[in-house]
Amino acid sequence: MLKVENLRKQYRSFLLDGITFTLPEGYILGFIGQNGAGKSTTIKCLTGVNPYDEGTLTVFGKDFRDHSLEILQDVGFSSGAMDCYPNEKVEKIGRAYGMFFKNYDNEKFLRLCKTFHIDPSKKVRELSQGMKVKLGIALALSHDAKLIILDEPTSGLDPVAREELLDLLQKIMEQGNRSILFSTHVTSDLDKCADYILFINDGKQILFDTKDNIIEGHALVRGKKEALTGSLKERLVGHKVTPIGFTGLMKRKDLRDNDDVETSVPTLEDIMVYYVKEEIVL
Amino acid sequence: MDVILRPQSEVPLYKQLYEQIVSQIADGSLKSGEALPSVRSAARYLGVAIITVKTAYEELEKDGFIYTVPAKGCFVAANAAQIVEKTTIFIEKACKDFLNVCKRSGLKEEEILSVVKEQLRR
Repeated sequence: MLKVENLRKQYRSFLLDGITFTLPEGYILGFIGQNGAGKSTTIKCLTGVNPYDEGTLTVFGKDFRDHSLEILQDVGFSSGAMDCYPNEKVEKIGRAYGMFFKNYDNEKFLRLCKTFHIDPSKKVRELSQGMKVKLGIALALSHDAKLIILDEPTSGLDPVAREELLDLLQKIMEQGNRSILFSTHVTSDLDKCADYILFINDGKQILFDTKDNIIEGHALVRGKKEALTGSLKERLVGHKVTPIGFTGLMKRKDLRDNDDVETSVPTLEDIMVYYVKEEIVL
Repeated sequence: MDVILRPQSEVPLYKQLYEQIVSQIADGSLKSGEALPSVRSAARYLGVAIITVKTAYEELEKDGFIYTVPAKGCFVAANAAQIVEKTTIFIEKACKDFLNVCKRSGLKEEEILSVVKEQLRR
């Protein structure tokens, strides 16, 4: 459904390079990285907002450079809060948006507004920040898109709305022929629903695999300070030392039987933190 | 089908799902011919990735516990209960738990074996 090979984009002082991943039909890809890692830059390239310099982008089996208009008909995209046309009513925004998409379904849009508790007769500026985020998502889902790309959809949402949104995304997936790519720096959003994880840092790709492989492939290790010997330290992806011991992250294949450590299953957050910070001394 | 998954466990989620479905076939709460929830619905109900459920179902199918009817879903196989009788996963699991206890108590291999032999003689 979406295939990205060696995507490269140079800004004045920022270089995004070597982004390579595939998202098959019917799955959710969670896109993680720190603020400024290049998530939004990547998404802008994927949605044609910004042109990419090099690499190949194939969507629905077609090359993005040659077929972008056709492709974008079937891509639902939302990036943060919907802030355009503050003085227009939500219902009017929907119809205006719909003019650009042949499969736009106004009833579906109004239904989504209802799900998200957005009053269609309100003006955009009367909506709260969270409501504006939801409005953007409702628009992205209103034209029967096959590929849904959401940039930070959960930022600005309260925990209940967050849960509702994630449940809605999984509900959308039950139809089977859609794919979702969404970026977040809140990794707990992905613990439940993401099938694949793409993790970038400072414009470089760190990891891409199924979430299960990534989590099962790593171990969180804890031990006494004395156990943190040279050979163990070399095998750690990252670690932090406190006066009462150390905690670190290691690839499971690098664990040895004689390592004097306790292991446990890491969360995505652990993985992200230890890959980004090499050594934290407290 | 009742399933409780523990993300903190070192047993991979798909394996936990696999084991719980097999144990429900074993205790008769899942009967042959019974439909399993679709991969995507199960993922949503359990709050896990679609791939996790898919992997578990594929393993179950490979081992003969369930079968897939295209566009209909997955069903418990007619001879699933017989396959359960032959499966060693519960023994393997109990064995692993037992060995973990032994390790924690600091028993060596010969000592573990002698404990087992002693129990067998009783």
